[in-house]
Amino acid sequence: MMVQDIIDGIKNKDIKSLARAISWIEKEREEGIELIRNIYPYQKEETHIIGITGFAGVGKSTLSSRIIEKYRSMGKTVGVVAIDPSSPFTGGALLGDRLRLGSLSLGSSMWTDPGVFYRSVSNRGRMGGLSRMTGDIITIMSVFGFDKIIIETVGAGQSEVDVIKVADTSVVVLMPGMGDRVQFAKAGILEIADIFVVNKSDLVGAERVRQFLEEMLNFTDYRKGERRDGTSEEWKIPIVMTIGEYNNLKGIDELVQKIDEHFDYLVSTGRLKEVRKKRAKSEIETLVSDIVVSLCYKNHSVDLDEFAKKVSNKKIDQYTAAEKIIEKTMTENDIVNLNTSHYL
Amino acid sequence: MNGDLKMNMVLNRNKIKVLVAKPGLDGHDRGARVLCRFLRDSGYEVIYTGLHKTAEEVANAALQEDVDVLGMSFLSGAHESYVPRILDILKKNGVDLNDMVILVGGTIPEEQFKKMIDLGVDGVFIPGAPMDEISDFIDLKIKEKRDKSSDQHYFVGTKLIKAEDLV
Repeated sequence: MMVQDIIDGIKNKDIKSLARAISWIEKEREEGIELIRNIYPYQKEETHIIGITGFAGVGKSTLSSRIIEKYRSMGKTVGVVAIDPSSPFTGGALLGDRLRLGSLSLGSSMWTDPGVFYRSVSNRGRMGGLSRMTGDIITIMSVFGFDKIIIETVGAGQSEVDVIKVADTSVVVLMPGMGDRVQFAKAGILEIADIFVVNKSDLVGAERVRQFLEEMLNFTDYRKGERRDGTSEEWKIPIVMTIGEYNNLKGIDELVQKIDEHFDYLVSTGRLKEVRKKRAKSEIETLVSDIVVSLCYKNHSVDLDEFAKKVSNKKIDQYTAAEKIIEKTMTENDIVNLNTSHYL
Repeated sequence: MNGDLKMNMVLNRNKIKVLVAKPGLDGHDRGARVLCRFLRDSGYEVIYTGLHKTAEEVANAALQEDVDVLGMSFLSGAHESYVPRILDILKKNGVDLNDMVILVGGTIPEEQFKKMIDLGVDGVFIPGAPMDEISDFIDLKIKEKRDKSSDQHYFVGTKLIKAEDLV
């Protein structure tokens, strides 16, 4: 299929064109890059990009499904990118987020709802909780015109914080039993939330988690010289207690309301522009570093193993090795007429 | 699978997406989950649907995920009604079956192998089919379809056969 056909298809809201466009990105095909070059001006400003992150097993996928269902009941269309990890050994992946999506056997089906498009992708070994392709997939989905785009990260460790770079609203999901006060004072994932969720809040200890979060947030505000009474202009990070399980649902309406309030806040304060700029910056940074790395190793004569041998035999130091590799790359490549698609 | 066929298959499996589906009312899915794990370990990207999916749900998932391979597992005899319906929905949505490898697995009676192949299925795997044969067949079939090869193979039951040997 030609790139122009796919572009027309996406503009005409053809699902198969959308699916194929994302495949080009995932399969790192040249057409994918050409597609992005052609459609980027048509991204919709009003698309709300929601990131959902948290440790493995806290209920991100189930919660996403409940959020999707809520948005559908409000008449909003939703595109979803659900990311799962790939194997460091074989590169294979089991993408198991989709199976949490509400299906007919549980009531109403999000699988066949024309207002929902769900795509499972692997992180292809990338650290940070996202795949490199996430930015491009968001671009395509935004051009297609979804009201909401949900990015569900891989089960995060303490420092998978990349979602903050692409999402307008970052939701960090926790559950009871995740440690004491010190865990809540650590840097990393707990710093990136616009909204906190304590999921599985029917389990013992949910109230303690809420309390620890409150203490942490109070301290943050105290440092900024503010009070958490809603009188300042700043966004007050809310804590929502939820249960995602079907026959015991709790807090989903409140969560969706908070997510929307946060977007309104970004729009009304003009901060959305900063967020979008941050997303662009992160995409450029990723591309530049990927292209440079690939320039160094992929196409030319740098023999990494040879350098590794020298360093491990203490013939040269690692800084010299890195300098030599970059020097060699810079002198041997045509940096002026760079064709990106050769290096991605 | 013989060596000559295998030699021709140098594929990047990370870029092959497989949907393993459980359409219908089967009560257990151990086989499907074992297969998911095996395919993951073999380097593919595998999406699992979970139990109790309708034909529309499976077809829509295959469409949205734009998978290279659709594998459907049946233990209840429901393949006779589900397989034609799922393939029908895919075709109605503009999916070219020459673009997607279609596999059926589970308790499929031998006398229905040919019927499945005639519907557009590429491989039928029954209990006893070695898992390595499944991944080998996926690689072979993707290559045959991509290259529009004149030499087409099918998998029926526990063995690989050439198109002309299909009876």
